[in-house]
Amino acid sequence: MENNIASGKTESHVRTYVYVFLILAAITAFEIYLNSLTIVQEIQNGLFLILSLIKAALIGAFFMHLHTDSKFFTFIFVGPALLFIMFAFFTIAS
Amino acid sequence: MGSQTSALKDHFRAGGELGINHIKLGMWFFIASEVMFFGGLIATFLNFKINSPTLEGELLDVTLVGINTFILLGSSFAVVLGLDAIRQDKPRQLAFYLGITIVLGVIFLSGQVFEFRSLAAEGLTLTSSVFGSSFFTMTSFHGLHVLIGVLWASRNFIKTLRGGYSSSTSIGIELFGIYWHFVDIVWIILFTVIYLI
Amino acid sequence: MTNEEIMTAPIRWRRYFKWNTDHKVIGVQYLVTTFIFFLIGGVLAMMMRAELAQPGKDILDGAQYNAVMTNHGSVMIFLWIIPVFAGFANYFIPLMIGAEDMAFPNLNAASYFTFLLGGLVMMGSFFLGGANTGWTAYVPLSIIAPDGQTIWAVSLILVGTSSLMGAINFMTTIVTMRAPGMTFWRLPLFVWGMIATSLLVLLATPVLTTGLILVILDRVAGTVFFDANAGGDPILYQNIFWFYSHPAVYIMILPGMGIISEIFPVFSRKSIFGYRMIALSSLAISVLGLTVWAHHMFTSGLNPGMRVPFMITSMIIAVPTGVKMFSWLATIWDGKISFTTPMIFALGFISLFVIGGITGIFLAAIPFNIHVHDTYFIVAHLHFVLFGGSVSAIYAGVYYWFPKITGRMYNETLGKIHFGMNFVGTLLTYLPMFLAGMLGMPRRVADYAPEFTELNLLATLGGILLAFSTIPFLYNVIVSLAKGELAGSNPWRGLTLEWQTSSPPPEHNFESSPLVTSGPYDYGSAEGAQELLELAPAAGD
Repeated sequence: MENNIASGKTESHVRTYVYVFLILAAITAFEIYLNSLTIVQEIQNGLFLILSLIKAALIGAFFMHLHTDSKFFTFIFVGPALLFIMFAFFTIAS
Repeated sequence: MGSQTSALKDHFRAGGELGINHIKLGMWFFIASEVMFFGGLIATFLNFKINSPTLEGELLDVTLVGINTFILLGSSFAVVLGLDAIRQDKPRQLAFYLGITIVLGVIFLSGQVFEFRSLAAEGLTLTSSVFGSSFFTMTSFHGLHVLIGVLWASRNFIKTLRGGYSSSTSIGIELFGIYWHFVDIVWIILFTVIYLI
Repeated sequence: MTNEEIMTAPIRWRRYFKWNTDHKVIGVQYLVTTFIFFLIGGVLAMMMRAELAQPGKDILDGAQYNAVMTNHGSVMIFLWIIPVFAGFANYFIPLMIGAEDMAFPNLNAASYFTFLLGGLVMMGSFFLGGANTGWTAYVPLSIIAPDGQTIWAVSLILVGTSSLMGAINFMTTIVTMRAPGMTFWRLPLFVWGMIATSLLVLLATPVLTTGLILVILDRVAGTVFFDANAGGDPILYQNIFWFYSHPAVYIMILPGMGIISEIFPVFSRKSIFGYRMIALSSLAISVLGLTVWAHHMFTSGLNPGMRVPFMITSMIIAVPTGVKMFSWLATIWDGKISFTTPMIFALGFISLFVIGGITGIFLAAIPFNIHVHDTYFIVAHLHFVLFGGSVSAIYAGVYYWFPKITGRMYNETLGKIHFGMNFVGTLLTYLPMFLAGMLGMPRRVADYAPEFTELNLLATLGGILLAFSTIPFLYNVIVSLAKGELAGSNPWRGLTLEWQTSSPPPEHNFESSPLVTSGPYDYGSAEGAQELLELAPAAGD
């Protein structure tokens, strides 16, 4: 079946992908470094959560092309993630 | 048959008007269900981690797993470069990048097996405690997804060598990419939830 | 083939027993298979009612009773009500939106055969020392139950996967395959119901799969998720289970509400009242439905601070449900009502479902819930929702679409006899259970105190009536299939697209791709009237 959205040649985005990959690698390296430090647990954990969400968002937006694709796809992906957070919260709280 | 295929083609017109490809849409719905599947496992793990904390987490080797995280990120990078290549009609480059993806996926799995064995040597197993049960169950299901991804990549690799993809028929690579990046994102979350926090 | 030839052509039976990607064949496969499971579940129910007709041990011992009860619940929920709507959706979503087939025909066939396999595995589990924990399979009981419990859990994973495949397919089909002019606000309300249902299936079923995998691992691999001695957490299972199984109630009722919304405008010859509100209330129910699960756990030793938020969300669900109820009543208000069998089943649905729905609000209230928890009040409530509600809607749908699927009319008199027996039987079976529950009769026990004898005897008599009510139905179906009068393409003069093609529809559904210019229930409006003029006269009109 023909794919009428992504058919035909498109311009190369290699440069963007390289940047994204470098940022991801840098964040991961920073996380491992941060883990070896001993600072206030709550701040550390908060930073880890924020950094991992940034990484997930970068992969979603650029590698999975969510920033150019239909917004509906983003909705399908992010909606369940929010639902999971609610589920996890109440499950742990009970 | 001819008229039938042309009828089928304009069959997805409604999707086309919305800028939505039906195969990709199906894939995203599948990913949505996978989010909830892993969500159940992660909620289970966090429930034990927060409500009955143990020191078993200290046994985990963050450096080894950190390297594994780099490997999985690298494989995602390779997949996205491969998709970019086939969109420029460069199937040989695609084959190269898929090859890298397969190799990195296998290295990741080997790393995981190594990690499991060294943890087992220290007495942390599937049946040793709630931490062990939820840790091994969750990481194994992620590993299973990596394994399926490696098999899928191998199949696409062979198809690429046979000239099965071009800039206008790259949807198969794109679908695999969505799956593989999703597995990568799951790992990023697991890495944070299990090893960092 | 012309329409005449299609209508009189002999039925090609063989394709129903093979891998076939035609959504209409798969729809019929689902409908027939699920009805067979319904009969099996009914036999199990009758065994329970026979045991409960008198106090004391009669035909089943306690362990057998538990296994029969567990499989009655699982068969009725997972092999009858949930998949039968997949059958209707398979047959009618493509027709209603003007498509040739589903978006992924092979996935569709795979979904049916996964379901069939799951159903057979569940039947098989019965012979390995059947699951005996109730359909909820609470831990730690389900960890120590006989081997059949493992097989039972596997069968639920299979059936759940099948319904996931179906949901992906329905959603993709509805978004990408609508005919020109079929905007979202022109979708028939059954299709809207399936959108809401598929969302729930997509988001909730995987969590049940997780829970079942954990149970299986605890049983066979020695993990300790739910073993309180090793620090495991039984409440965790309840959270996981009800996160799926409360939405499952909406998975079982929203498509039925969709069918009811199809039937009322057609047989009242009026446009539906509040089309957008009905469509949106389905979505509201499914979104809200994901946030209420812990109301099943008020007596589980839950964190008390969590009970009130869940009570509030549960009660809010009454609002979108009420929107639907009053919209239906406003639809038939002042309509030109014809009391055909589907219409009286739909009216029966309203009166029975309202009992189930209102008692649901009682149960959301924490003090009342604690009082009647695990009594027959719960049994009565859920059967009014699922039998009085869902099954009435299913029967209404079967009669409504029988002419479309088979090309022949059913017998109206037999249909009305069926309705009468079914309606009276439902009330006679389940109303006494409310009383017994209020008086404190515990559910899921093979025996009871003698003071409940009269109420249980009444329920058993009602159950017998329900069992016999399937006889006129089956006789009607078989005789009409062979010798029913030809229905023509549009016996009810419906305006939705499935009636604008021959009965049964040709292989690719429409001779030419339909162009939609008006809403699905535009009786009385200028465009709708125009369309109506072109239709053939209805049977018995």
